[in-house]
Amino acid sequence: MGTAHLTVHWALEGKQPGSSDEYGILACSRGPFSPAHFMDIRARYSTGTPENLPQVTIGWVGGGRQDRWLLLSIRQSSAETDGTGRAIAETRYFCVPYEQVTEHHLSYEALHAALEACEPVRDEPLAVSVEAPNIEDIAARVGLEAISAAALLLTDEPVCVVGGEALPWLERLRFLDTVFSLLPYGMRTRLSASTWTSSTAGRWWTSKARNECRLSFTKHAPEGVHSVRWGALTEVSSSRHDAHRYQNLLVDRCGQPTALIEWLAAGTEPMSFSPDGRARALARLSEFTARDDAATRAISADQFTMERLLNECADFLKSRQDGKLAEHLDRLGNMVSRQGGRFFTGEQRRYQEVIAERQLLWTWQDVDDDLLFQLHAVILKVGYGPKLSARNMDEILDGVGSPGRSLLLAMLRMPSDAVVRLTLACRLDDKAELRRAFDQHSAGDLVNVAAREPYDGRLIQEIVDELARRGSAEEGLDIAGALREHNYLSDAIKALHPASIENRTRVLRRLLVAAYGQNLEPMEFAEIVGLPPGGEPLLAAAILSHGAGAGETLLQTVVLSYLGNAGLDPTTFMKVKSALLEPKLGGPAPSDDPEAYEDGSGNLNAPEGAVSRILRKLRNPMSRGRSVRVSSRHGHLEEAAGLRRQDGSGGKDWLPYVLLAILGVAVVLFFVLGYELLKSL
Amino acid sequence: MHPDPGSARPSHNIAMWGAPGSGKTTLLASLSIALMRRRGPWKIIGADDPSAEFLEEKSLTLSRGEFPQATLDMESYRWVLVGEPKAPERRRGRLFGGPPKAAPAPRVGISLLDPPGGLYGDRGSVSATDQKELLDNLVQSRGIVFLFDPIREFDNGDAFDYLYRALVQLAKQILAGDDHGDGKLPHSLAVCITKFDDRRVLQTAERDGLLTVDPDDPHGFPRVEPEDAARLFHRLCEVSRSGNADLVVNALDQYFREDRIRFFVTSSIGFYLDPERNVFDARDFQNMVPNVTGNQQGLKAGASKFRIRGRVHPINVMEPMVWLGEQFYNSQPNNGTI
Ligand SMILES: Nc1nc2c(ncn2[C@@H]2O[C@H](COP(=O)(O)OP(=O)(O)OP(=O)(O)O)[C@@H](O)[C@H]2O)c(=O)[nH]1
Ligand SMILES: [Mg+2]
Repeated sequence: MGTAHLTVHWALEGKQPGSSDEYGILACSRGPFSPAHFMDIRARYSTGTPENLPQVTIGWVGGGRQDRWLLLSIRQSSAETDGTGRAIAETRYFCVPYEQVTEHHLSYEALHAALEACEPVRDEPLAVSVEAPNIEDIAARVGLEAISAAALLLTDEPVCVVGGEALPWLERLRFLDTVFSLLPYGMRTRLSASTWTSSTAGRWWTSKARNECRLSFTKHAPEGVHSVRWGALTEVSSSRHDAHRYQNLLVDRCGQPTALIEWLAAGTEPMSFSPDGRARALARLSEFTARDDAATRAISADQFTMERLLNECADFLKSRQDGKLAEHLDRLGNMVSRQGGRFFTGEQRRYQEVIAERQLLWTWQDVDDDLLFQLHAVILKVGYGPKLSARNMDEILDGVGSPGRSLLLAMLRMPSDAVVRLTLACRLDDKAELRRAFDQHSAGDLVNVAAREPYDGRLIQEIVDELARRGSAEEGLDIAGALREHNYLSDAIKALHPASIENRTRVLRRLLVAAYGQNLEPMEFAEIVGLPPGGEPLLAAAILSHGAGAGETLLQTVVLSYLGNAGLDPTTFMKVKSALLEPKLGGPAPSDDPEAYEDGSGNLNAPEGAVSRILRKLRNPMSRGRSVRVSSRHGHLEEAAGLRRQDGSGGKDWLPYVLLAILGVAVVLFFVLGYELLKSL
Repeated sequence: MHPDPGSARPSHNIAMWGAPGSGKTTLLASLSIALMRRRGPWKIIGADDPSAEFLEEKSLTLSRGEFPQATLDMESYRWVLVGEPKAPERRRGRLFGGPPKAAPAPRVGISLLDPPGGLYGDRGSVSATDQKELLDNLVQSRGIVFLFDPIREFDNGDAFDYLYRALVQLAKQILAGDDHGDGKLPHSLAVCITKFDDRRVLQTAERDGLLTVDPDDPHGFPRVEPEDAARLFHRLCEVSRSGNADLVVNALDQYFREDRIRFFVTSSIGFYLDPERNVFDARDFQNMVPNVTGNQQGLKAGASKFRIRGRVHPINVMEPMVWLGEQFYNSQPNNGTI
């Protein structure tokens, strides 16, 4: 509360009684405004011929830093008549320096009350004292119409209130105050309003000036003017982005109207209704709750601008305004670059909503290819930049139904990781792109990607082919390590061939060849068929109970019957059986060609000896870590080997490994069967 | 809600032109009553709610005996002139032709501008913005209703001032760059001599022997035959207080094509009729009388000094509009719907 002291310039408009002249400025104060200035002000705020008086009109004058004024005019009827006997209406115009009203956030009602009573002396400017308004009084009047009107003003187009003609003029003035109080105070430097405007006063309603806004009561909504019906909430159409957003925020935040109005009133920095001004107004409003509620985030003006630009891009897409779309995309791109491609936490979530809702990543028919690519590239940067994560990729691909080439390419060109790059290149169905993507990644990466859930059958297939192509010569060790880590992709391959054990076997065989060459060394065999920890005592006990020949029994009864039930086709099974039971002869076994299973055309490298592979492993520091890890993971192997030594039973070096491998299989079987049994119970 | 009969239709702009107080707004206000009083082929419908409401509301105000307010700012209305559909043609040579097809009613959309008369003047007390806008509007329009107020001319003699400035500017805008035209403005101009009901105007017409009575008129109102209207106009210019009213005649001749000017002798309120006798009385016909509803000290704030005494019988109010409408209608290549 307080009192503001104002220096007010004024003018009086009317006619000399009995004259046949038109209306004109009869007198005005000396100072910055001449009668001609006032004539122009009058023309700008013409509200038509009034149907009932008094009438209060408010507006703004000037615009420069030193030259900002609020205007208030009061039109009243007089007892005088003109030359044709018609009553003369008298209008007083008052110009108040803007910076004198900001400190106390003066309301128009308060200004009106003070100025109404003034009696101008000759040509002196008026010295007027105005009481600061009671914000609670204003807050008590916040209602549906006021919220609707305030939001609609953010369309930067005139707004009228209909159905309020029965209200006394003072009530209408108070309503205008209430509406204005729901906007940052600084917008008053660009707001005009009137307690009444004739519906046919073309100029008020079609005012060409942009970035300012007009509100008035009238009888019928003129064409093209937003209207608010007295006593009702008028939903702002979602196509008017800023206004729609503003309404939602207002509705959200008007629970404490007094505090809200105080907060908005403190925003006295001049603001226009330009897109930037609107974004600032939205930001100011969003800051209100964010101040004392940590859960709500303030949204910056830039964020609102970005959101609006996104929405407008969608509008331009719909209306096929390609030029404007391209301009907007440039602006969006620049905004992202300006902030260094960084976003606040959660900032992009809102953009993603708009992008999904407005289908900005869809393949728009008959939009030029280049433009479509630009669209997708920029939109991705805004919503999902700077690095496209696999999760976001999945979300986008799910959202757009069938992604077009432009979108896939644009996504592929974003910084991302192996999963994203390979998935997209595969989706794109473009040999060259896929090649490029493969070349960027090690075999280990490829295996990791293939193992990623949800499984992507086509991609797994491509990766298997690629691994087979690279083969054991180059990256066998990497492949082997990665395969081990992902359990030899058994689950992924199961997803690739859910129905056929046979096919799964073939694919796995190709992978093993890629990783280890044609023939497995015993060590490698053990590595692959490794035993899970925990079952050792039971296995040892069982073997002891069986006594000598336990190895043979294991092979015959456990391993072979396990494989026999798997559903392999008879020839494969026979080969398995002979490989399992027949003693090893010198030289490589007459092996079957793994490629024969598949119709793919992997070019197999000549099998490499295990020794040279192990030598290479030792020389290659990159793989050393992995080999170390492998040996520790398979620590139980060594433990089992130790056990063998204590038993004192010696023999060929490879035998214990084979035996242990077989034991491992037995344990697996034991657990699997046990589990199945439990389940069936 | 009104149906919107004219929204999509391109409309022809008409501007009201005349000094302050010449009767522009009153003429528009009486359109509705004129329409109901005289049966003619044309009617006027509001093309949007506010314009429809103006017609309705203002005629009620007049019927209550009140004149409209002095116009403070430009107002614009959108109306549609709807004519009578042409009689269906009998198609010859078609033995079993279906029922004759009725032609659609002719329609003319008009956008009418009613500015404060002061904007036409050169008093320097009007804003440049306003005048510029008025001029833009005149350039856009093809029809002008020019109101010549003989009363003002008797008293002030400044009709020429309110014609010439704007006319010269209009000519500059339209004719300066137009090498192919005939050097005349493209507008159709309806010159309305207003306030025919006023004693002084009626007397001038009578002195010159221009008054007749239509034998079919049950009320026996005096009138001036359409072909004599121009003569009355010249006559009134001659008796004007200032010497330069004849310049008005010259200026109109100079700037408008002869076949695009038509004169009308009008009165928006018409003559007073004694409700009982219901015929024109040459001794008691004044329909505009001083307002006595004010209190002893004078009028109450906002009240007008004059009021309308009896019923309103507009004279030649529809006619200028209809004439302009027909001009537009006939100038359209396919004039089924305009
Ligand atoms: N006798 C008579 N007086 C009329 C008639 N029409 C208008 N008047 C008088 O002329 C006055 C002015 O009429 P308006 O229609 O307001 O004049 P205007 O041309 O609109 O004037 P501005 O709005 O000031 O430009 C009215 O108040 C009446 O006093 C008429 O038909 N007959
Ligand atoms: Mg008028």
